Amino acid sequence: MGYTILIVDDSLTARTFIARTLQMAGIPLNQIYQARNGREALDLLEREWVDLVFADINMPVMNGTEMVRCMRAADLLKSIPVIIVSTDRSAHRMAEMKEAGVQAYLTKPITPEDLKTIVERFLKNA
Amino acid sequence: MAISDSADEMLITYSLGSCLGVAFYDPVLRVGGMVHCMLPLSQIDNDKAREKPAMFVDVGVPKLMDEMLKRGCRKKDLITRVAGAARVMDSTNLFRIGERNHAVFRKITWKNGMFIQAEDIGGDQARTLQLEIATGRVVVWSQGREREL
Amino acid sequence: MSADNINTLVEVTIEVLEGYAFMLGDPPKTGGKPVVLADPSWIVTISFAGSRVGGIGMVVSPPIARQAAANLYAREPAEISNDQAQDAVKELLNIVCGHYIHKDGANEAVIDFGVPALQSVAREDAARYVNGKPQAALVVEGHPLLLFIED
Repeated sequence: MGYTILIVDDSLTARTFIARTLQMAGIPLNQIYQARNGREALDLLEREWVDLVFADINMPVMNGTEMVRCMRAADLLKSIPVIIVSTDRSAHRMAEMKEAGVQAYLTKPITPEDLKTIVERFLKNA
Repeated sequence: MAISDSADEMLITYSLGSCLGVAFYDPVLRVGGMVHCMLPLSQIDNDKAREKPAMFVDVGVPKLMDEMLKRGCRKKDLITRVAGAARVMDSTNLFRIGERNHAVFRKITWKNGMFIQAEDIGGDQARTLQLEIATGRVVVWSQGREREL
Repeated sequence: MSADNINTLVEVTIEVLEGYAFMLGDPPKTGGKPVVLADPSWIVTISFAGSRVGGIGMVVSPPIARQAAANLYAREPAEISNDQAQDAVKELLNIVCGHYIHKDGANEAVIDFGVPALQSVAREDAARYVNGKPQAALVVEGHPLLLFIED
């Protein structure tokens, strides 16, 4: 058995980058799911359990902020750690996301090394 | 460029300014390799690149990796550490040689599915990089101070 | 102001190209040859609103986009589809935009970013599109990349 991880980003490139880093890191993986926006992610989370979510903020249909708020309001989803990976570097946005209940906020571009460190930190506690 | 599997040896490269010093170490076979590259891309001087591939990051680093694989090392075992890429020779930083060396190096590690274990890069100081073959210990000296990577 | 902005845009684009796509870009040369855009060219734009309002964009040749995607996907350019190449340059511009807005530690700005858009156009149409806008041309691994600002 390994971990199940969900990557939410409207960019295929961004999702692929994170997925490849996770595979390179030698973390035991059960499944990597991908979603293109918050709505697709919530639909998936209704059916599947995941150990960790990576999410962008700025996405069409449903953005990351709204997605996190929905997750935090749902009993079954509120304990799943969410790591934001966004281009938005504003202090305001970081504070807003922290208040919404995210566990970490990374700004793009991230290095594979940074990503590996943070994933290992979260999965150790998962 | 140098490779060693002798426990009593150390690989050292001096005067890393905007140049990049790369150390690979295989803890399973206790084999270490080091290369000191000056420029990012070999296409500016193909003759030189054939003669001295280690001068260029884009051919020097893959060559070192190949040589280590020929000695039986496995890519997934290699511990990668890097130092240099400073701005020492170019105070206006017009040419960004250090940053470019580092970018090309990162492209190579990413393409090969390798993580950089540790790095000491940037700034404006020269560095010396040293790798102990017996232990795999890597040390960077800069401005009289020693730092383990 | 526009000159400052375009210089900032050039600077952050070079940094992002190096740091994210592992590509090396050369800044515009004074008195250099005028840039010849590719045919077709891809125009990628992103807009923003909030404390700052406007947009930035780039005109790229499909081969640059393919190379960027190949680097990011750790593949060869020949293995990259048009969709992957277009997505890669959109994501690249998205990151450039984040850096551009918050350059010099201006992290107090509150900005809503748009979603990057891409259109493939003939060379003449690309030239017409950027005409009159503050712009600067980089050379990225032998290919032109034209940056521009929309107010």
